[in-house]
Amino acid sequence: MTSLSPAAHRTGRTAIRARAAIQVDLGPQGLPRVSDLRSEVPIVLRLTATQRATATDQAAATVHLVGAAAGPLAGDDLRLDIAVGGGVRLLVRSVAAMVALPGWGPGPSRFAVSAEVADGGALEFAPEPTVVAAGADHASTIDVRLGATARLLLREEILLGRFGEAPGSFHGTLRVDVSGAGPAATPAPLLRQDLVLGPDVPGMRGPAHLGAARAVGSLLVAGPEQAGPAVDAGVADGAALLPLAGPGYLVSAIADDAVSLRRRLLAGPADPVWRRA
Amino acid sequence: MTELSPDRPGLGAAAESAARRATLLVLADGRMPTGGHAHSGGVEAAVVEGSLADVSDLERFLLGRLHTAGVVAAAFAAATCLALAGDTGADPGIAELDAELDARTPSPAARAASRAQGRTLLRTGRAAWPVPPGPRAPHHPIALGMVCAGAGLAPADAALTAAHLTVTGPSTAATRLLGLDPIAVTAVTARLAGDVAGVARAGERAAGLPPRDLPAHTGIRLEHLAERHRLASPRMFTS
Repeated sequence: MTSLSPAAHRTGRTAIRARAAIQVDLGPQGLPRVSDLRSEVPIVLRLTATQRATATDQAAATVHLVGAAAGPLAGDDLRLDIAVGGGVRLLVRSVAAMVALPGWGPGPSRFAVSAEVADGGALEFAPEPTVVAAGADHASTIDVRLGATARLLLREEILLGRFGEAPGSFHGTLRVDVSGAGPAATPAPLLRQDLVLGPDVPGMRGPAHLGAARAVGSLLVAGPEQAGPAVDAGVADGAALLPLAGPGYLVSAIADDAVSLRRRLLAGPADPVWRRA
Repeated sequence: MTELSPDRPGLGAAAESAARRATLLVLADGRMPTGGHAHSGGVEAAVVEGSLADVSDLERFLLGRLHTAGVVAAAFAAATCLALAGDTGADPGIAELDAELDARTPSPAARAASRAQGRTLLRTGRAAWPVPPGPRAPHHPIALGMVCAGAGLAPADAALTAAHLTVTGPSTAATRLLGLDPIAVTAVTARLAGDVAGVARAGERAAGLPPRDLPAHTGIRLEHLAERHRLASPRMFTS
């Protein structure tokens, strides 16, 4: 990293505050229109692919998150706002794992993602894992609001410590709401999860929480296709396939390492790995 | 017990406090037929898979359950009791709290177990106290908050009972499943009393938050165990 962008002002001795944004709508001729792609160091966004709508697929845009600095470090306050319009699909990826590190800033490092997906739109948010280094204190918030006919795939992977390292502290908040049909309908909660991890978390290493696992993650699939009893619950080694009360299912997994975690999360509902009652 | 009668002037506050504690003991008594004895809270599945084999495993299981599911249960029991305390005629929002708990319980087996226990608790609670109207089979913490409100208890009592039950149900189940020494298990639950009180206080403090901001702490393996339990055969417990 050579310089901070003008808008990335310092909030403390070393802490960085940054706001980045993506907005994608359906443009003319079946092409996605990226009307906003605002990077702010250290969150640098790159539009890496666009795809015209076809007879079977929506118009789609792929944006990669490129980390332009190490971290986040303690005190860093990063935010990414995503808006997806109707009739278009946005895929958000990242080029590498994000490593939350200790630092000298006040409070934890923070990364907040907020997304709004309009009716008929789709968001695939599947960045590489977040690694919580020893001594780090990282807070992650993901807040998604879906229109009644919007679709979502959301993958979150947490690795406790770099290889062979003790875990840092992590507090993840995941909130997904789905609007009811009709203009006056209030949004219904689909998923609420606070994942609190760290060396001082009581019982984390016990059989009710993580056991000995170093990697933990989830993959949420939501959308109108998931309304009703679309998916049967199942279990596999270190994983469970959980149909939610609302229109979606969650694959929840723990593993010893990132590769096994990813494999467990990618088992779809039709995968023979699931054992069912 | 005439000296404890709230009708006697001068003894009002003390008598009320004693009456509340006596009611709380009835509610938190494991012998109250609330159906809780049929549920192990994930213990049976953990025993079957081998991750819970002795008293020290049980202690770590209980700590993890208390600081995840227990935090959520305490907050929702307290929030329900608080919502019903006003009796303002406005919709107390029980359905919204129930939907928020659904969103905090991704495992369908865990949702079913919670609602089954909520239904049974309400049935017994309604026979004992004037429990306010509400859903027939709400999640267990909602039912607990409703019963507490009906029994004249405070949100703090609801939170404490919820946190207490988070630990005692699985303890009893582990004792039966593993043939653990009940005296050693009692020592474990006694050691956890401070944690139970802390979780209850956190739940009570959260009770006034908007429902979407109530705690949502998740114990990852608890959700897996709830589903794994359905595959186990034979089963001693329903969940």
